[in-house]
Amino acid sequence: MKSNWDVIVVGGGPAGSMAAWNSAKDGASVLMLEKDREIGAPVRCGEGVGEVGLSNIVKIDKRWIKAKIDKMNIISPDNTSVKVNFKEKEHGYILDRRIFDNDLALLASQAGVTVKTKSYVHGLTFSNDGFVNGVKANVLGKDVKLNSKIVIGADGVESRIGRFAGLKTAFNMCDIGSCVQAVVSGIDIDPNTMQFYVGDKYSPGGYLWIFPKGKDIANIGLGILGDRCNSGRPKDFLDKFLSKHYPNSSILNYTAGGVPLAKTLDKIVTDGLVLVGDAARTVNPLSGGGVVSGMNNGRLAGIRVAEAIKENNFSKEFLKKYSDNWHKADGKNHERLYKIKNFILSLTDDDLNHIAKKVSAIPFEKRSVLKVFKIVVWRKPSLILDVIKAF
Amino acid sequence: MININENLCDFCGTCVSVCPVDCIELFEAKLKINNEKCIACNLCVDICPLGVLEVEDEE
Ligand SMILES: Cc1cc2nc3c(=O)[nH]c(=O)nc-3n(C[C@H](O)[C@H](O)[C@H](O)COP(=O)(O)OP(=O)(O)OC[C@H]3O[C@@H](n4cnc5c(N)ncnc54)[C@H](O)[C@@H]3O)c2cc1C
Ligand code: SF4
Ligand code: SF4
Repeated sequence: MKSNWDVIVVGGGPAGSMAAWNSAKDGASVLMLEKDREIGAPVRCGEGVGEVGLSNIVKIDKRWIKAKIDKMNIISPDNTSVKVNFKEKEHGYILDRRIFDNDLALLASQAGVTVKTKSYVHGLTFSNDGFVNGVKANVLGKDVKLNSKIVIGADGVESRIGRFAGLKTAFNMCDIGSCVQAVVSGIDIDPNTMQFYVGDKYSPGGYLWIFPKGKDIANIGLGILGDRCNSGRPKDFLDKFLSKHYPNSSILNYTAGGVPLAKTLDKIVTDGLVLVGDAARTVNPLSGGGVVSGMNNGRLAGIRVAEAIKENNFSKEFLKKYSDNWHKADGKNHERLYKIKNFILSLTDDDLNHIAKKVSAIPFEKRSVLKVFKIVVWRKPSLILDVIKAF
Repeated sequence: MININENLCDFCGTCVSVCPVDCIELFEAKLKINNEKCIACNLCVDICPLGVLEVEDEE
């Protein structure tokens, strides 16, 4: 393998592949390094995405899709169920991310990107004037130094690339969800409905999800907000739920993971380096969905990096346009969603039960977000102030 | 000292993401904590979804 590259991407998830692919479009030489032995595995994800959002970024392949979602069912702590039909533009998919992530890396490689697995980056190298100019990595068991003009840190929630370059990226405990998920089979569910169980009873400061991958199989997982982890382990909450609701099911796979529930980092570029996806905290902080937003973010980064290579300018001033474009595209909206997250966190299980009862009393066809909102505020008038502050 | 129960660990990196001094390293099926750098804040212990990490009392 050659040791000089225009761009080195660290991490082969959706954000990394999109960044690599777009960086390479104008002919830059791009290397993408992934520490695991396989792109797309293990899957640490509920795999739920919006159809419109995804189709705006890539042409959707049928092989990626496990289920099509057109309904949602929210279950409150006292078991009141609120069903909502999605409008056409709100439809979603449950993906097979193993195939999906693999195909995104394939698309990148078809655009000229070189992809290597079993390649762990454990440090950066710097020029005399402090620009990041390469990585120290272990590639297939061999320690190597690789040179680059720009490094793209796409190394997910556990990202260390930003820290190596002196950016502050460690999470506050109130900004990360501690999650577990099981792939559960031998259950009887509607394959087109996403289900959410809300309240501290199921998962303090988060929610429990059931995302179908067929009529008898689903991703069932939950996340607990970091600063509420003293209420119990995510794994214990999930085991309790499964043994109560699906006692005779089979568990095909069990994974842990962290989800950023934060605003995008203030600094996602520095001289010779950009961060993308979970590493830059581009997840929707209210829903925890980070696949599509990470891809969009990676795409924007790749476009700017390609320009930087063309112009031979790798300074943070030049790269910052990526950060500004991201802020306009999704980052600003995430700041608003972050405030709404904090507002929702102030609701107690009693509040949620009350709200669910009121909403379920509204005829199905007449339910709307505004009506639900009015009920929420009615339950907790003191929250009007918080909401006003949020907008 | 933080004790790692390797048998339980899923190598998900959630602990790495909260460590304020970046002293946890994760590659393949190996998790290493640099005890010299560790400031014993126990954030990693709290955030682990599976309960892999424990504080070990120093005698
Ligand atoms: C339990 C759970 C459920 C979720 N459910 C959903 C959902 O339903 N819908 C949704 O949209 N989002 C969901 N998310 C969030 C979503 O998975 C992430 O936002 C998304 O994967 C981010 O993509 P990424 O490319 O930034 O990072 P990742 O997909 O995490 O990819 C980062 C890659 O970098 C590699 N890497 C890390 N460090 C190094 C290194 N030093 N050297 C080389 N490689 C390295 C990792 O192995 C990994 O492959 C969920 C997350 C979790 C944990
Ligand atoms: S958070 Fe827990 S399961 Fe995940 S890598 Fe750290 S110790 Fe292992
Ligand atoms: S106790 Fe704190 S400093 Fe030590 S490894 Fe855990 S998170 Fe890092």
